Amino acid sequence: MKKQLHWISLVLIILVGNCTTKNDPAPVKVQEGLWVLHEGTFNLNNAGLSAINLDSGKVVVDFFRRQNGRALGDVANDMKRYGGKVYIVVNNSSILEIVDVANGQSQATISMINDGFEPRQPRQVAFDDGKAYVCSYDGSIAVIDTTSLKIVTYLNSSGQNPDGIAVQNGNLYVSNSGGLNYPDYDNTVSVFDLNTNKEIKKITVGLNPGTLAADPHGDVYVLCRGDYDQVPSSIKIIDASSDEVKGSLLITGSSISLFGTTLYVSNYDFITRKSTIAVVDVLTEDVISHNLIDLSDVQTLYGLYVDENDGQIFVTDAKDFTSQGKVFEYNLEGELQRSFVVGVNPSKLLKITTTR
Amino acid sequence: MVSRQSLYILFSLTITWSPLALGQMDSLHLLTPIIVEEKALISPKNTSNPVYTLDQEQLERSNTTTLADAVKTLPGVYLKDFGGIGGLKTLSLRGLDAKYTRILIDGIPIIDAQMGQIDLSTYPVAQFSSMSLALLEPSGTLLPASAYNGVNFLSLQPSTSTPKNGLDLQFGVKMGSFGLFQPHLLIKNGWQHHQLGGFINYQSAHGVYPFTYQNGQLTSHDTRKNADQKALNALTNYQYKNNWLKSTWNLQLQSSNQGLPGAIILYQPNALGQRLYRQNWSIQTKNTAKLSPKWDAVIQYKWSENHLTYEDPTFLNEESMLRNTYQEQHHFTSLGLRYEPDTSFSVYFVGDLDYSQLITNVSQLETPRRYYWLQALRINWHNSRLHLQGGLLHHYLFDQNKSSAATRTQKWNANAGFNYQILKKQALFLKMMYKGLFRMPTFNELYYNLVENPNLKPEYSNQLDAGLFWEKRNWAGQEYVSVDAHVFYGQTRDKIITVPTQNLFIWSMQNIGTVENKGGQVAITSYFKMGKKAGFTTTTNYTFQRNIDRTDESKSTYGHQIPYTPQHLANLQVGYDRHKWSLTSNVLYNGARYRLPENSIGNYLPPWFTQDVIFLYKMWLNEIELRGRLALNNIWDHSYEVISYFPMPGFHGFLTLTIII
Repeated sequence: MKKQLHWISLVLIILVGNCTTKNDPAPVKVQEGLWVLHEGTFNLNNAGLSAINLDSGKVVVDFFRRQNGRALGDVANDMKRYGGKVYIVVNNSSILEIVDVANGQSQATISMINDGFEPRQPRQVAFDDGKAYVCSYDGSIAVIDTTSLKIVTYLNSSGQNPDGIAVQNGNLYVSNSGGLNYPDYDNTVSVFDLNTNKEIKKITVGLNPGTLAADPHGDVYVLCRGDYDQVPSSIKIIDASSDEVKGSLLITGSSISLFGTTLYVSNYDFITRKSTIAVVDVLTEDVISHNLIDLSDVQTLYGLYVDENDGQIFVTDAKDFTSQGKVFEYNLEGELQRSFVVGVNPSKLLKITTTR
Repeated sequence: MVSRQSLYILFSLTITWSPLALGQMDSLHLLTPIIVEEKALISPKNTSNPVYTLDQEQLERSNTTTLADAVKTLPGVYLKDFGGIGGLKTLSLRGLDAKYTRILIDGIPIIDAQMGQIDLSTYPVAQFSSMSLALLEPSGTLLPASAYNGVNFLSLQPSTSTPKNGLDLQFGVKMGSFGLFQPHLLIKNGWQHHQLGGFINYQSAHGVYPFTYQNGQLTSHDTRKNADQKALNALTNYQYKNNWLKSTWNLQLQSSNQGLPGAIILYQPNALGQRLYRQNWSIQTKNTAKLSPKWDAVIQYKWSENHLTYEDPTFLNEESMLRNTYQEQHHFTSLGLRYEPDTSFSVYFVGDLDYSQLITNVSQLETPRRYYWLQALRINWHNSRLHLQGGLLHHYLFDQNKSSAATRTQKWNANAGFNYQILKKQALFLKMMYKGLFRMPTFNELYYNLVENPNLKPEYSNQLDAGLFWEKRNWAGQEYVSVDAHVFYGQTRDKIITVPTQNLFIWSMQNIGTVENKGGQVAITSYFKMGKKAGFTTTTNYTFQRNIDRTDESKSTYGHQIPYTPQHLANLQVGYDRHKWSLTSNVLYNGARYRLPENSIGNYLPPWFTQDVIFLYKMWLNEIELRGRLALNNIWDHSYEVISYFPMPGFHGFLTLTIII
């Protein structure tokens, strides 16, 4: 009796269950639209890609997961299109994810790991003549063949923690941020000759250089973020024919992006809590406007995409950096058209059209 | 006529939260009346707040390696567990984080001015003879003022300090999963007025275990790497006691060298070589004197020095290595005086001075220093049916740091509670308590990252609790039943939250959060006797809690459950005892929770439960007792996570052999 009671009691407390079946939704059919990359938050593997159908206004949140049945990874940093493919740099997962623009399906996942099985921490991607170049925090620049989707070779920057990358006049420009050597930031841009794959010059710019933008007139714009304390942020202009710094713009910016012949400098001021977009004409190298549009609807400006032909300005809002972000659509007059709820920390945007 | 032994049994029935020990009547004769006296202080019958106690027998029989394993079965506890042998384990009680729980060893708090929380996995359970978790007042008498400075209290009694005459020797070895090899030795000797004890525990493990995780439709298998640990805990204790004086001295060492397994990062090899080295020393002494029949005085002192080194050999700076060192020092002095005109009334006044400093090579932290003067007034009164408790705390702080002006903080807060026996002939008690408390910002919070915020205010928390405690013996064929049911409500204001200040790289701490917590919990304990030599025990508890963000109505997270606070927590323990052996089963359930402030599907973490089975066998060879213990944990091999992307071990087990002379 005692034994029975014991066994009965044991059986009673064994909760039969564990019915956690995961039903991942099936892939969706995609049309042209706006792709939104969300960075996610560190260590939560919640980076993702959303697709917005601009005709219907429908958002497929976590479009990458729907199309591929798996997550994008941890901390997505960059997204650019080259030909029929979109290249996504996932920093903390240390991968380059290459997807087809037609359906969002993965074509290749390239692991960026060094010989000691340590993550290289890739940051940004640029393209030239059938090659993709990915700079990583460990100082390497991976050269990827865009046909075979394989790493051909690695270049090595002599600077610390490469962060931004751009191609101008057949040369590759890589900004050395030194971000992980705080407080001793780096302040250089390395120039590589893509014919010889050699570093040919190191240009001193401002402190803590980040994103680079190559304009149509042979210049490279460098966002130098300063030390967030005594040294303010600035934008340096490199003349690619001489590889000298020819000018400097004193605009505070958290990111720069070039669309057409215009450079946009986005900034969120953490003290005044105001979001602004400044505009630079890259031909005259003048600041045209300090306030492109009224962004009072945006809590925390994070990403920008301008399509002058279609008259659209898309702005992303990172909110408090842990909640679901938003994408706002404005017309060129700065009137708010509509907004979409997307994933955590939406950073990069890409308009996908099959005709381009 | 009640015999002496049954009186004792009655006593122990009322004072233990879990009756697992009740099956251990064989060992009762070993215990001396002094322990009864000490334990009676923490009886749920005469405190106005929930108190849950585990004594040595229960700790021995439960599935415990470290303190972390011991506390996680108690009501309202959510153990924030990063998994495995070396994973950080801190205690969250009723949704309040570890910074709100004071941990006392022999009445003196462990202070961590840098982080404000204690990793429970660094204390082997064999180091302690009992532990109790309380909400209004820590158990024990003539404690320092800072012992009262917490919302919750975890009081630990070192196993070396159990007063007993004659030589006592215990040697045990634990082995099993994760390559664990853990020998410990405990020696106690008492003669005349003196008692000397020593404890040493060594722990070595590779920490490797397999786990599976889900990535969309993919199921991935991996092993937890870089989880090795070597740790040494040592403790010596000396006590002198005569008619009017009791003096206790304690010397403690904790030393460890461990790998730090990180979160699962998808598509990454996850073989990072981050390490943590720890070496903590402390000396503490407590001296109590009976000055007269009505007056007691107490003087306490503690010195401690903690060294912590964090290494990351994969960090991508110029040296390809990040090495942060922290050295924290404390000098702690406390003086107290108690006036007890008769046994029903006492007033206790105590004042502490605690000096802390932190020396580190992290450039933004420039040797912060803190002088903390804390005074406490405690009043206790009772008659045959009513117990009243109340007190005041006065804080005076002086914070100093090279790069900013010194700041002073002065605060008062109060607490009170009662316990009333509702019916004269029934053991039915009504309890209520109120507590207001300030939690001072830690060094990390004050001087975190690049931008320090020396104007940071303390967090303020208000907690209310009301409950009923009922127990019955020899009723309807049962030996013992007790029910302890509580409801609670609380609020935390000026909650310290990290926010980016100048840009995304510079975060600082701000007093911006408001959190409301409310809920209820019930603990039921029963013991059935089956014939002369067998017994059947159950302890079960269930907690429902809501911890809600009330910061800003315009934010999307307003009204959401704050991260890592499950709404449901439950534990069920069933034990069957024979004279020589016992079998215990424990089922622990943690409900769903969210990993970020927004309660969205993407942040949802599913509920989990684990079941452990423990078999204990005892035999005697003359005067020598031999014990064998087999613990099988997570017997259904569930894959689960307490903290997102920190996988917990599946099925694992340990065998412990102990010799007691």
